[in-house]
Amino acid sequence: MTGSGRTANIDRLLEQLYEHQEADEFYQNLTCIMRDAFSVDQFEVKLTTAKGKKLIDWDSIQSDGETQSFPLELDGDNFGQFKITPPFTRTNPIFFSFLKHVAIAIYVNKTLQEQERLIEESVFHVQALETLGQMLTELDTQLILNRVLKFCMDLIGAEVGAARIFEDDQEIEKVSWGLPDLFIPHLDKIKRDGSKIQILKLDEEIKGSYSLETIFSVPVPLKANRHAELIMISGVEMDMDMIRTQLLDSCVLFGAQALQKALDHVEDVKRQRTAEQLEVAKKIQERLLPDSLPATDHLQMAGLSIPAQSVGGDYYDVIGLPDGNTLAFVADVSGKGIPAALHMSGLRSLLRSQAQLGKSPSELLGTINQFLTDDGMEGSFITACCLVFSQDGKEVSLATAGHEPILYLKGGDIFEPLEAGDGLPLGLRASETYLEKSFSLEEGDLLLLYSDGAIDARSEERERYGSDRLKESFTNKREEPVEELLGGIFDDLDSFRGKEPWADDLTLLAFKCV
Amino acid sequence: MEISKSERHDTVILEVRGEIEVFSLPTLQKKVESCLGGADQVILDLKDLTYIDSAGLGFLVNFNDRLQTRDQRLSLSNLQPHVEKTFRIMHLDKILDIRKGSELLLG
Repeated sequence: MTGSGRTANIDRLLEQLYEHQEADEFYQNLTCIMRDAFSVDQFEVKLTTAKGKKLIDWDSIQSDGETQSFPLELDGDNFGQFKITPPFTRTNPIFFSFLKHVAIAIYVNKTLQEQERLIEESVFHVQALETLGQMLTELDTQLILNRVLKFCMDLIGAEVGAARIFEDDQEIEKVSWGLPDLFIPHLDKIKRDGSKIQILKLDEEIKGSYSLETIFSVPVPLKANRHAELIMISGVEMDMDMIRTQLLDSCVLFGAQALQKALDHVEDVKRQRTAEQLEVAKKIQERLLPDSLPATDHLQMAGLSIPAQSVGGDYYDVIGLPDGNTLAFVADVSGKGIPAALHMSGLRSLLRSQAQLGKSPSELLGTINQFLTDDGMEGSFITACCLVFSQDGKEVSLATAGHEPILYLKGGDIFEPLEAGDGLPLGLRASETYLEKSFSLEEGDLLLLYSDGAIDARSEERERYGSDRLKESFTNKREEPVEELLGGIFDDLDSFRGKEPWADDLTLLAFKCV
Repeated sequence: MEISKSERHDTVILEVRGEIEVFSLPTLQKKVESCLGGADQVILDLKDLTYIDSAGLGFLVNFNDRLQTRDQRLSLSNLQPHVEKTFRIMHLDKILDIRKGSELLLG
C-alpha cells in the first residue's frame, strides 16, 4: 500500500465519519466503518471530562473475549478511551491515523449537541415567555392562577401545588393541583420572607405522613393590601438551576402583572356598577326635591340643595296646604351619602303625608319625631325647621328641632336668629316635645333657612365659611330679587371653597315678603 | 384625628385631637368600643378637637346611650367654644354631659 493510497483511503473514511452529526447515526456510522474498514466487530468509546463527568459512553462489547485499548487524544480537559474486540493481530497504521480523527469528530459532535441543546432551551424560553405574555390579555383571575401555577410546576417538576391570592392576609382566591386542603394549614404555620423564593422546612412527622420532600414557596407581589403565593411540592429532593430560577422569576413577574390587571378590572367593573347605581339614585333624589316652588302674591321664594356626594341627606320642601297656608321645611340628616339619602326619602314621605292633616309646625315635628324614633334611625338623627306662612305671607309660625337658627333679616339690617325652644333633633328621643313661635313679617323682610353645609364649607386653606360670612353675603344681596339673592349666596360659597369638595350637603331656602 | 387613652381609678380619659368626621369615625369607634362595660366614667378630653360633623355627633349621642344602659357615665370636657356651639345649636347639651374647661380632668 502506497502512502498516497493510504491518504485517499483515510479521506474517504473521514468523509464518511463526518457525514452524520446526530448521535445515534454517528455511532451507527462508526460501527459500519469499524466493521468494514478494520474488521472490528465490537468497540467501546468512553469520554470523560477532567471533572469526571461522562460525555460519551458507547459500549457494544458483549463478548468476554480479549480486548485492546487505545487512549483518545483530546484537548487538555477531556480524555477518553477506545476499546476494541477482537484485538488487531498486527499494527494498523491507518487505524491510528483514523482514531485521532474519531476523537476530534466525537468532540465536535458533542459540542454541536451541546449547542443544539442550548438553542432548544432558548427556544423553550422564548416560547414560554410568549405563553406567559398571552396571560396579560386574560381577565379571569382563576384562569391566570391556574396557568401560572401549572407552568411553574412543570418548570420545576413539582407534582402538587396551589396558588392563592390574599387580601389583608385573608385568602380570597385559590386554585389547587392535587394539594389536599387539609395540608394547607400546616404550610401556613411556617413563617416566610414573602419577598423571595423559599424552600419551606416542614415538621418531619408531617413531611413523612404526606411523603413530601421539597416545598417551594414563591411569592407573587401584588399592589396595596393584596399578595399571592405559589406553593409547589415534590416527593423528591429538588434544587433549582440558574435558567429555571430565571424562568420562574419571569413567570412570577408576568403572573403578577396579569393578576393585578385582572383584579383591577374586577374593581373597575364594581366601581362602574356602583357609579351607575349612584347615578340612578341621584336622579331619583333630585325628583324628591321641588323643581319649582309655589310662590304666592305676598311671598317670593327660592331654594337649592346640593349633596356633598352623589346623594345626600339634606331635604327642603315648600308645600301649599289645603287651608291656603304655605308650609316650608328644611332638614339635615346626620352623616352623608346613601344612608343619609334613605332617611331623607323616608322623611319626605312622612312630611308629605302628615302636612295635609292641618297640623301646626310643632305638632308636625312631634309626630315625625315619634315615627322616626319608633322605627329607629341606626344612630342617625335629623335636624329640622318647619314654618307655616299665612295666606297673606305676614304671619309665620315656626318650630325647630336642633336645626341651625333661621336668619331673619328685618328692615334696617337687623338680624334676628330664629329658633323655637330647645327641641332635640328628630329621631333621638320619643318623648321630645317641640315648642312653637309665632311672629309677623313686614314687606321687605327676608328669611334664610339653611343646612350646616352652608357654614361648614371649607376653603383650600382649610378655613370654614362660618355664619358671619353667610350673614354678610346675605346682607350684601338683600335688595336683589330672591332668586338672585340665593344665587349670589351660592356663588360666594362656591368661590370660597375653590377646588375643595363640599364638606357637607348644602341647602339654602330663602323667602322675601313682598 | 388622633386619640390617646389614659386611665385613672375608675375613669377612662380619651383625648381626641383634630376633627371627628364621617371618614375618621371608624377610628374613634374602634377606640371607644373597649370602654363599654368597663370604667364607671368615660371622659372625652376635647381640648384639641377642632371640628365635629353631624355623623360624629350622632355617634356620641349613641355612645352615651349605650354607656348609660351599662350604668356608665360619659362626660365631654374642655370643648373649644366653636365646637361647644355645634352641640348647643342642636341642643345636644340637654342629653350629653358637657363640662366647662378642665374641672373634671383635674378632679
